[in-house]
Amino acid sequence: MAAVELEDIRLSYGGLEVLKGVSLRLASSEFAAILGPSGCGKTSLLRIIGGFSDYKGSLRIDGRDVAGEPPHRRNIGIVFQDYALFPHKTVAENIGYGLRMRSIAKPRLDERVSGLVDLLKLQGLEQRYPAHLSGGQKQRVAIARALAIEPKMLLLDEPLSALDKKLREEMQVELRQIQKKVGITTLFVTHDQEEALALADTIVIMTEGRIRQIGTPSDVYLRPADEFVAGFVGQSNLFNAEVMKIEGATITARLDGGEVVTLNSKELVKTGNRITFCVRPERFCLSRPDTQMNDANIFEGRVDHAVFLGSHWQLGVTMNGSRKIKVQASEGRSEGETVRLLWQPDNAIVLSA
Amino acid sequence: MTAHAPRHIVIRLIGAILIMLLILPIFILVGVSLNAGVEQTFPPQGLSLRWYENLANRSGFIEAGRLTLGLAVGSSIVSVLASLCAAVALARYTFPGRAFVLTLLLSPLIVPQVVVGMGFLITLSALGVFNSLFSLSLLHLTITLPFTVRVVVAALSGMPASLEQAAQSLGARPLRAFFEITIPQIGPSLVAAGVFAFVTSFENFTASQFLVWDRMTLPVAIYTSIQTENDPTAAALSSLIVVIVVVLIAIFHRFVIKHMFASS
Repeated sequence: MAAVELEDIRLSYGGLEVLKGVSLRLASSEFAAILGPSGCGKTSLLRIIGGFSDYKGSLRIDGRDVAGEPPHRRNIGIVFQDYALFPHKTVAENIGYGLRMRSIAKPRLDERVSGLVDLLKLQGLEQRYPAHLSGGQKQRVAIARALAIEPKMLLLDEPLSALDKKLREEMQVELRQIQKKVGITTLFVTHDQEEALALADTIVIMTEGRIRQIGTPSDVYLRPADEFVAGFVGQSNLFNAEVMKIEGATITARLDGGEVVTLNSKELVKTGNRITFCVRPERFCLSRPDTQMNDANIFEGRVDHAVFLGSHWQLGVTMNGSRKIKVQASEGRSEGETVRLLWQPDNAIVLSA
Repeated sequence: MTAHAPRHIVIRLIGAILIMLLILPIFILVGVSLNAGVEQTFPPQGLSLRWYENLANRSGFIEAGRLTLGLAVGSSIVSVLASLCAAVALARYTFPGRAFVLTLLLSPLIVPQVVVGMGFLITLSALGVFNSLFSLSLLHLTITLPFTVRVVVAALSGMPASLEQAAQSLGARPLRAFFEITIPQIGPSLVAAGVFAFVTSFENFTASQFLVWDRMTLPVAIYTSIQTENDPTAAALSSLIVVIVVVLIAIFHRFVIKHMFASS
């Protein structure tokens, strides 16, 4: 299994710069997701690795620069967003296509195809045509076909976007198991943060042709590098404040609305600095009369809307004046009610100093 | 339901009359061709296939038929192949002047055939070319190309590029991917385009009549014959052509309908 290195990859269409210097290194057997909104350049990056697009910069697979190598010699398995199964070929012929291109003898080809049919639980469907498969089955065939050639790496373009919610969750688990079992370096692109968090070991956050953060799922969620990442991965409430006092790791700051809060952060800030910090919706507690205050910060506000989502409530709270806060609470409140929101200094993430 | 019934009947009646008006001349033509007598009369006076037999003795018709068939087969094959090449460029690549090239390829469709024929006549005469086979080949290619380009470009544009890319990622050279994956997908459209071109070329009279220096096409020969003779031979020949065209259109329909089901 191959390691992949991208260095300062750039791409322009006409005058429009789609990729503005992307550098990324994938270790062998790593499962990475490129997460970004549509138009961020993630699909272009995939096409470049697959050999379907020009680029500037260097792309090395296993240390070898593959510039100019046509797609059919790259030995990279690709699962396309629309699966791109060959409609006039059966499931078995689809899976075996890459082996046939490699002139593998029939007995070995059949053996390998049936191995993949087992791995992807496609038994009994070998002689069907793609038109007679469900969405999940089509996807499994596409993965089997890509794996059949024992590729150096696997690329997946929005692999689960065409499936319904329940099937998507099943396939997430399955895809992860297959990737671990085969141990193949895998890169997939998605705009769905849940999908990225659930599947990948490494998440690469991209926007506007640039990488904003590379890290584990918990890294990008708990320690977002900037406002974009904080807003894109999970929900977040952003606050602007001015630093008033610093004692060790404890920062006292005044919000633009006038409230004074304390935050714990290792971020290097100075008194008088303007900072932006983020508090996740699930980090707020609704206070009761008997709640211990300790050193928690308190926001007061009115409930704008309250939506019950099964496992939790989603509240929209307007603080004095106009600031709106998204809160994920374990208990409900009625709309119009005044609430006190508690949050711990540890739960603030200082994004920029 | 009942409230709609009267209107329904009126619509059906209008439809039936319109269809009759379209089909009637062909029925009469076939009737005339079956005449036992020597006059072009309807209803036929006695039934006979003698005018069909007579066709075999008319070397002019046979020679014209051979030329027409050759032109139709040749121009449909060449024009489908040329359209395929054009379609790859137009549907898969973006290049400056792309829209212009497409318009240019489709333009013979909007120029009246008389103008196209005159244009060819004047140009070829000026160049000193008085060879009907050469001129008509060129003309029929020009006339059939818009039809085939249209069908083939639409077929290729409607096919996701990801199929070919998938084949390439699996190790197929671009040309192999094109022949093994793309061609089977657009095959029915290629057949349809070919049939279209064949019929267009086979029945063309308006433009072809300008270029019959040393050889005639069938429609021109028929026209000449009805101007000079009054027996039902021309009617027999025309009926025969109708049958051939109907068969070809039936094939065309079969492929188009099959294609529609395959893509769903």
